[in-house]
Amino acid sequence: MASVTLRNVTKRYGGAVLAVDNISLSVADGEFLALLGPSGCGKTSTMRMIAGLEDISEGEILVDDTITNNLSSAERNVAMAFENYGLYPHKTVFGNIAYPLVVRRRSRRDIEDNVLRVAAMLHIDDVLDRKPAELSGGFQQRVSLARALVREPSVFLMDEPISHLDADLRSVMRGELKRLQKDNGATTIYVTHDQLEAMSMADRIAVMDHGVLQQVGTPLEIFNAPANEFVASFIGEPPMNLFTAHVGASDDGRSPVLIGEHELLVLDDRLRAGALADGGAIRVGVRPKDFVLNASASDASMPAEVRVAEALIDRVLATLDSPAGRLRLELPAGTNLREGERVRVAPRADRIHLFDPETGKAIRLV
Amino acid sequence: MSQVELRSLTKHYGRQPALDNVEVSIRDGEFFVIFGRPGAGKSTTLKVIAGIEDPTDGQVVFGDQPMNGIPPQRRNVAMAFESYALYPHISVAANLEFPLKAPGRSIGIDERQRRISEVAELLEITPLLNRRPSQLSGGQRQRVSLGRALVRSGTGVSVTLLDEPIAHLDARLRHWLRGELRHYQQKADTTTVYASPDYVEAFAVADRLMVLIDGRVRQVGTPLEIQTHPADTDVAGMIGDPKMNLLGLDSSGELARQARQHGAHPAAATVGIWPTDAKLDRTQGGIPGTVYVVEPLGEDAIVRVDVPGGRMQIKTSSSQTYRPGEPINVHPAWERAHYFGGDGARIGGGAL
Amino acid sequence: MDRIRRLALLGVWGLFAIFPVYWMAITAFKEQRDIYQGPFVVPGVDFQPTLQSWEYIAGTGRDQILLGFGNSVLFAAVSSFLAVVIGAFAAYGLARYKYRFGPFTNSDLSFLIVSQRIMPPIVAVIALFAMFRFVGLLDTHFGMILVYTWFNLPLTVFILTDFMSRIPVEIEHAAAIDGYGKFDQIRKVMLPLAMPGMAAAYLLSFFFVWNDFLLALMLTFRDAQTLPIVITALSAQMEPRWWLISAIGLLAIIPPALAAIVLDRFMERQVLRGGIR
Repeated sequence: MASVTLRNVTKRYGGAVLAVDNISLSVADGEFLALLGPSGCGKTSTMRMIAGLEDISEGEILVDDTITNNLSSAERNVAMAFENYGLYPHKTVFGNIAYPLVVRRRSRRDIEDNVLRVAAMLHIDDVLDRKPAELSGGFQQRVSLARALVREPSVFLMDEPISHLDADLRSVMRGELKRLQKDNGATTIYVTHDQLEAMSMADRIAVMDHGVLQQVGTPLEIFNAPANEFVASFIGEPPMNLFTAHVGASDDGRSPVLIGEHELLVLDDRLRAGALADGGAIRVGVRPKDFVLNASASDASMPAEVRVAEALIDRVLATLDSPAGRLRLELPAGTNLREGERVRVAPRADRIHLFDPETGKAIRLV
Repeated sequence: MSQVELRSLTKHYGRQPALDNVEVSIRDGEFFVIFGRPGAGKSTTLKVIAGIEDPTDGQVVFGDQPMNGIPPQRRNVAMAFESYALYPHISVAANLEFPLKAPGRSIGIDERQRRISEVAELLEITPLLNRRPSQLSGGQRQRVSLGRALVRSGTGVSVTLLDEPIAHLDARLRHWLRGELRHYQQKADTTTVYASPDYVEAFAVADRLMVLIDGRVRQVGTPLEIQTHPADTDVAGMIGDPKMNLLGLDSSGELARQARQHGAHPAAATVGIWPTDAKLDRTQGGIPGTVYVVEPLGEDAIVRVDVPGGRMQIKTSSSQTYRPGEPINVHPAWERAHYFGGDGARIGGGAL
Repeated sequence: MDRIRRLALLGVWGLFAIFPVYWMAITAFKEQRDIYQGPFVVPGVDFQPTLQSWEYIAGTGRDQILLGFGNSVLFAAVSSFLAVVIGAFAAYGLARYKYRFGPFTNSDLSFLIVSQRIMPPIVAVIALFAMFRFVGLLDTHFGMILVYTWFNLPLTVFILTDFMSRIPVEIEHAAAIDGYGKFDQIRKVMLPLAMPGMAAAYLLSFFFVWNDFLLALMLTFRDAQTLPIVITALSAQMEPRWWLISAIGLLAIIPPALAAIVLDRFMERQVLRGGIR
């Protein structure tokens, strides 16, 4: 078992393209960390540097207290499950999974036991004598995963290991992988573009965009207190509603956040003394679940018209046209909404997110 | 008349039946969803309706006109392909214009431009109109492909076929667009057949759905009908987010005892419980279980719990914390449970 | 540093590649004496350039060279065109339809076509000579175009089948859905997408005809002689006149080079990118 530390790690391609920009991050022994971000955000480059598959342009990567910059992949004792499978086409599934153990000269008995154990766990025990080419993408991905799992490495790297599976299997595998990691306690770094995977599986999430680390925190920290607009919009489904409002003039010490003439929220004086000028613009974020429907006109609320209402068994999803623009709401099951109906919606004051319109950084309601 | 009827439609690839005796009538102007897992035959059904594939047996009927043997270009259908199938050698705008310029369609240049800009606006691809498909991201390509189908609505298209048209878009667009698709469809009043493996998507947009499993129609109905009365365990196991829990009622187990006590049918072999229809607590009573793993999802969390009869997924608030391996009691809302017989068919329960 | 080393390497390779052409070019301006006494490399220093070869081409040899040149261009251009057009039809069929003749399927059919080129041309040439003489095609333009088209077809079918089967069938389906009949599907979608393959096939086929010696040697003697035959004939009369051969050789580079330049812009292999997921 081991911890992993990145100190000011930077990756440039061809001198100019900055893929990873000065990232510092530490992963504790036994921790499950998700590197989350859209494609091209630098998450895979970061992982490949940890694996030793990519040179580090600047900075250091430590496993425990050893600087690994100049160690080969093999010397780092990291295992990696690739996004694009990387299976040996001429070997059977068994041969592929067994390979890391064969290279390490483990006994035949030991190899067989371990291969069968992980194969059973990933439900590939009945295809062990097939060749990779005979398997579907989902099966191939599971074989790749099994090959990484069988080694029991000190650091376990996974690059989108379940993104090619169909939705049902993905759901099952999320639970399986998480439980597996909790049981064997291997330090795990998991690259994904899917916020659902990161949220549901990781102990902590590192959100990246454009090579820059945006926020590191537990899933709930990131969900409840996103550091900036990017993180806010990337986490949660349906995604957070984001719109621009303005801060009204304060005559009596009150400082309302307004959409048109509709008051949404009254800001705290302490906050007002800080960043926000009266009359200035402010970005507001409200999660789909954090709206109250049919608030009374006297409350901080705004009118809206139902555009689409989608009733599911456990919730109602709705799109509304409002002065703030198009809003997406998630309401309790049984909420009765007709298309074209006029309603009043109010954001829950304690669940509202505010962002600086210039920098996108969160403004904390202390 | 743009009603579409599939009469005992069968399609074999080699010996493998991809569609087996599919019989359904899609109403004029309806938003009809084909719901099924990958490989269930959704795309094949659309291709047979379009005329790209010939059925091995059975008939496709538009209005009262049998379509067998009529090539796609004479069926007047619009279709968005699952694989996009864009024309890579021409611009996005030219891709969208292509169907409007087909032989025999006298649509003036102004009308073509109007339609292209309307669809481009809807799909947020206006800035991309002069690019080639190779210069677009996957999600953008999918929107162009969808646009090429939508641009024809209201030009007398008999049916619009959409094969997982928003599957590869980001979450924001996916949520917004599926509602807009409905709007667009209702405005143009075109019969639409939409294939999707995604429960939320399928049940959110459909007027009616057809549940397809291994090429067979297992249930046809409104989203509400199917969710409150799933025909059998196979259908029930495909719906919900997370999916409905299906637990075996072993005759002597604690689960079976409690189910009977709460009015289960004596012949019930399986009970179905929605993930939102069970509470967890650490006190006495309920079904004894063990926490397998907890997955937080913001305000909610999915707790997987091993109980006699299977592993359940239960949706709770993320404010409660549970540890893997911890013993826990599960309290299902029995009055909302579904019951299925030994053959899997529904035999009762499921009140709303 | 790296950059300098790379440039140096490229320079050396460039010299290596260009030198033969350079040598041919200066030889075209040498006297027979300079050729034999050589090696002379720099014109004006090592030897005195002369226009004698060009005077010969414009004068004594003109008719014969023009005939050979014209025939070569005609045969190469026309037979390659025919081979690509006919080949495209065959390739489309092989790429899009499944054939079955008893135990034989598409791949056997492809093999049968390609196998035409397995045997060395010399094997066929004697039989061809006999047949051509029988039907009176010896030394005719039609005969030569026919034989070159036949000879290039396996190549074009092979290249185009591979190319066309890589064009996703869904794109054709999309055109059908969009309201276009079979003919328009091919004209508006298949043809533009197959263009790079057709350009490549045309070029290869053009080069083959342009460089062919054997078939022309056996099947022509006067009216239908091609440039390689003419060059040889010019030399065979006495000792090899290298200055003249080099001069005609220089001219002979022009048509294939032109064809390559013209067709290059159609050869963009990326044309299929972005079509499907």
